[in-house]
Amino acid sequence: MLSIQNLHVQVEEKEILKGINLEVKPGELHVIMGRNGTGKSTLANVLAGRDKYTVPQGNITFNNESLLDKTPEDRACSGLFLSFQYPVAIPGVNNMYFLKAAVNAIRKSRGQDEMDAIDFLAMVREKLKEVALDESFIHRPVNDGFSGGEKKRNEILQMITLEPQLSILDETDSGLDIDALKIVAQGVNDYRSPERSFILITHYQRILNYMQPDFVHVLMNGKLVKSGTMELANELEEKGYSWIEKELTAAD
Amino acid sequence: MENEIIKKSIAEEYKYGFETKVAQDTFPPGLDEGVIRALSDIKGEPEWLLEWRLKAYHHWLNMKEPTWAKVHYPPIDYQSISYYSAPKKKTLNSLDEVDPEILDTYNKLGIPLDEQKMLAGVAVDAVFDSVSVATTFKDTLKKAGVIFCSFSEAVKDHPELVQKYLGSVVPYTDNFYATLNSAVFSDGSFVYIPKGVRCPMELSTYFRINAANTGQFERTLIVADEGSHVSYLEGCTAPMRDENQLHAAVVELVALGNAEIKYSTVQNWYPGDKEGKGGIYNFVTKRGACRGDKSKISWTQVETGSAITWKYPSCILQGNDSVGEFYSVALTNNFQQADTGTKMIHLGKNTKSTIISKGISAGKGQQTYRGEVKIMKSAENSRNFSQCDSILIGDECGAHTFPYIDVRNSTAQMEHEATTSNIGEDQLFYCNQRGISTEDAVSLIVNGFCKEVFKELPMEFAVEAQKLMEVSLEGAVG
Amino acid sequence: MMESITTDSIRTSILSEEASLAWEYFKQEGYPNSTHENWRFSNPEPFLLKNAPVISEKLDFSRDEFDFLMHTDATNVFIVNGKVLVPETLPEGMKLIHYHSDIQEIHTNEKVGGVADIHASPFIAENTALFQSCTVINVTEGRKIEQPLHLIQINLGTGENRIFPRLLLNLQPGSQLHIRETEYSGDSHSWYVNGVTECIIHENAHLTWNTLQKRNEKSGQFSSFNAALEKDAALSYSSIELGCSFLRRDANIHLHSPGSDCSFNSLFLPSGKQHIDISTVMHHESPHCSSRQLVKGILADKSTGVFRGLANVYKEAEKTNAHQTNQNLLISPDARMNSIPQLEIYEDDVKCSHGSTTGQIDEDSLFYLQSRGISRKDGIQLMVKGFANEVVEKCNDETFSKIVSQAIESKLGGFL
Repeated sequence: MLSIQNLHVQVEEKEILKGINLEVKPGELHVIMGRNGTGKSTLANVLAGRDKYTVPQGNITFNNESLLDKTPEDRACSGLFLSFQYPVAIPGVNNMYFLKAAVNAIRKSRGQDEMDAIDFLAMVREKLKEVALDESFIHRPVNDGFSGGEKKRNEILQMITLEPQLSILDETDSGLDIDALKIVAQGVNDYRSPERSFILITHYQRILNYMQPDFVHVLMNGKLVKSGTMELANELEEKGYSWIEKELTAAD
Repeated sequence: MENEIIKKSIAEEYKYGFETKVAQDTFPPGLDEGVIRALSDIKGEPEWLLEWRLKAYHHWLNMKEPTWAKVHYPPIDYQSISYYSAPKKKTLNSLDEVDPEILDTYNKLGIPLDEQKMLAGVAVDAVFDSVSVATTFKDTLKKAGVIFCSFSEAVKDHPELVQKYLGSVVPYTDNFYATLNSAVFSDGSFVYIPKGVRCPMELSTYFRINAANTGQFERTLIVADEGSHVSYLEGCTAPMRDENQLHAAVVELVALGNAEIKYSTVQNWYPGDKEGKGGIYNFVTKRGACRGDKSKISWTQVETGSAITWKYPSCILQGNDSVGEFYSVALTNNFQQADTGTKMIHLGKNTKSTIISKGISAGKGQQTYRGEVKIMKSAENSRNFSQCDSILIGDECGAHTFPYIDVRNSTAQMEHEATTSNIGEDQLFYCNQRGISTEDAVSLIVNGFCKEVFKELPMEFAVEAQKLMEVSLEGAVG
Repeated sequence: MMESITTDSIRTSILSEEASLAWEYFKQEGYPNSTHENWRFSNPEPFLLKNAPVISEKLDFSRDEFDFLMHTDATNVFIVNGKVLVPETLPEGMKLIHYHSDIQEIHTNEKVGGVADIHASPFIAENTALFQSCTVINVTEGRKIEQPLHLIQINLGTGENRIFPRLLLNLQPGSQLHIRETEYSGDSHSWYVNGVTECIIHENAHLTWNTLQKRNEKSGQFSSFNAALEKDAALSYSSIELGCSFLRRDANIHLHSPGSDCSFNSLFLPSGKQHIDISTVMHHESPHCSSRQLVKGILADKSTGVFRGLANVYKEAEKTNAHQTNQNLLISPDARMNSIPQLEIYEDDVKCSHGSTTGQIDEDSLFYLQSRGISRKDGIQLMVKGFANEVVEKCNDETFSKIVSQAIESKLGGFL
């Protein structure tokens, strides 16, 4: 479904990603771990099409189509979703209105009819239950004045409403208390299916207590330096990252 | 029934034609006492009105054009303007002759075909739907005792009311443009709501039809007698082409005890082209007096048109417990300039005023909010709340906020807030990532920004206003 | 009006060229009146004392008479009628010069008049033409001077006089200075004070400037504080305005280079028929600069107050943060306040806001205090002091805050 080949990324002349290779197949959940500042969020933003990054080398395909020359909205319409590390507040625009605009933009791109307000509200009411939010939530301005937990739950609400094929969750677990974390994890688990894939970016192993990843990768110095399964995550939790560094220098 | 309406309409058309036949169609350019006398004569005005016009004219001769507003334009030659022209001087034969760009906008705004013709200046049949609708409206209004007619008709049919209230809120000495208007006003509307009457409809559709030819020096007078209520809608969301570059209108509102006037405007005069050529100079004086206790005047405006807007709808809160409100959305794109705001003068006890102003600048647009809140010594326990927010789109535009706050009574409470921000790249990216295009995202954010004002507009106007914002902002974000 | 101006003699010694240019401009402009937009609510006319003599020093000044104004924890420097009395010892790294007609050489890199633009106000032009001596303070590069420098500005004479104090402060890159200024009248005559202060705050230098203004209630003062901030420089300015019959305090702050930061605070407490006008212009000339203004007025009796604050964001000054707050408390039915907070913005990527409130003491809060056993009078005192405190705390100087609080309390005691 998603294929990243030798991806190099620069910001203002500085190379941040130095050759990433990753294959994500339908139904898989990949976890990318790494310390702060190793380029995890850069990878997420490049996938979503943020324009401040340049890609001097490499390629990304999504469902066999090249992603790099598409606008962010085209990528979203083709089924790629990014849960932001810092969801953006849009004062004055209510959540429901925003979500309806997004749903209809995506439906339109798929050649489906736009949803009317009544059907939409009925659908969103169901989705709200899944993330344990009450209805007043969708009448508030987008992320404006939301607590950290509310913002992340709002991201999950948007995910399950927009029904993407590939969801990239950028530090969706950070800043959450344990209850909110469980709700977010449950939201993701319920959404999993053989057609839907996930890339979960985090630097804590904590959320993995509530999710079952297929693969765990370590991002370091702009590369995915180690890949494994849940066991790798456990090892990282226990020993930190420095042993991998040692392994790498030894290999050099 | 239908036949009668048609007959009536034709008769009205004819009546108009008959009047103009006597005089020339258009005066040669220039302004002197003779022009004013001739103008008054054509309109068959009584002596007192001519006197009033002449007093204004002589006063105007000694006035200087104001320069304090933050707008720039080449000097206007007041002698090169023709001060009278018969209505509908330019008639096209069909919509094919109209600038396709304008037609495109009409279609985007969803304006019915007949109305498109009317707005664009295409000759319209007498059976034109809205005219008959208007006539039906007139009957309903008549039953309620509401007087709603052109200013010229009012001078003929209700001279005592006109004489009593004309210039009582905006005196002929008021300011350069208002004084000029007092001397040469062409026509306009007159509304009188009798005691205790709630006007049975929004005074809108009718006006929309008639607004097209009221000319550049328009005069509106609305009087709401004790305990009455009226909502008046002015303007139209479609861009109005006009040959006249200078517009200097005057609107006077009088609300007596317990009366309420709601005045909504959508102004979308021709703003000039993308290079800043052409466009209307809109120098308008609008003021309402809350004369009686517990009276209320509420101004709502959506200003997207004109090359230059100079406009400060104001309230004089004389009656105790009277209320003044001002809700405004102003948008400047390309080379448009707007210097707009309000004045709230608190004189009576327990008077309240609210100001919500939302400014959007894009392109090379320059926009100034200029407001004055004056709480006089007599205005005990008065309150004001003002909020002026600006959004900037692009880095070549400007937004300026100049509130004047004058408090002379310690029991007063006044609060003013202003913010300026931009539409952030982060916000746009966030919307893009959810599948919403940049253009849609901008209009989403702008409509959210303007929500507090749009909700003050009558329902159908609010929907049009939203669409209008979208059309006006097209191409603002590249 | 002009006749009385032209009898003044402009300086012919130091900076004579600047003096004559400034004089030309001043003659052309004249004194402002209420038809000038920037003077709409302040009429200087009765306070100009056009026929009073201009003086520039006081020969028989005795420091002992005014030792009560000195602060034990600071370097105290007297400036009498605009002439500085240079102390024998100064902290290391600081130079203090009395720049006057006997000196021909300029001792700093920056010229007098480099920051205070004569076109910004006729009063700056008048001062630039007529000042007879100038205090120049210079702090060496990288020097952080811990001990506050206390400038005691005294006017003292035997009748009505005019003075034109001038001060130039130059903070070299990376230096730091904390200034306290006390403006005081040594007599009870009517004075005309037209003072100009200029500060050049170089890269990464930090200046704290706190002024306590206690002129006698007959005097008229027209002072301007002008500062230019270079890269990453910071200025924290606070003034507490208690005295004067008429005060106009102009602040012209130029955020000239990226990363500079200014916090401007002012508290004014007019009573009787005092008139206090605080006018600020924050010039955001560069990207990534921030400014915060907090101006509070407590107005008693028949006093009047004006706040005119402008945040001017120049084109290309992106990522500007400019905020302005003005709050006024009217504690008498006859007081009057004019507030004109203004934003002028030519750049889109900015965050700017202003807020202004004017009102009286909140009756609900007062009732709450009373219900807890506090008398109405004490309750009002408490709330007014609380209102004032926000500005006092911004001074970031314990000694100064204590002195200021006492001065405020004793003034409040007069009318509460």
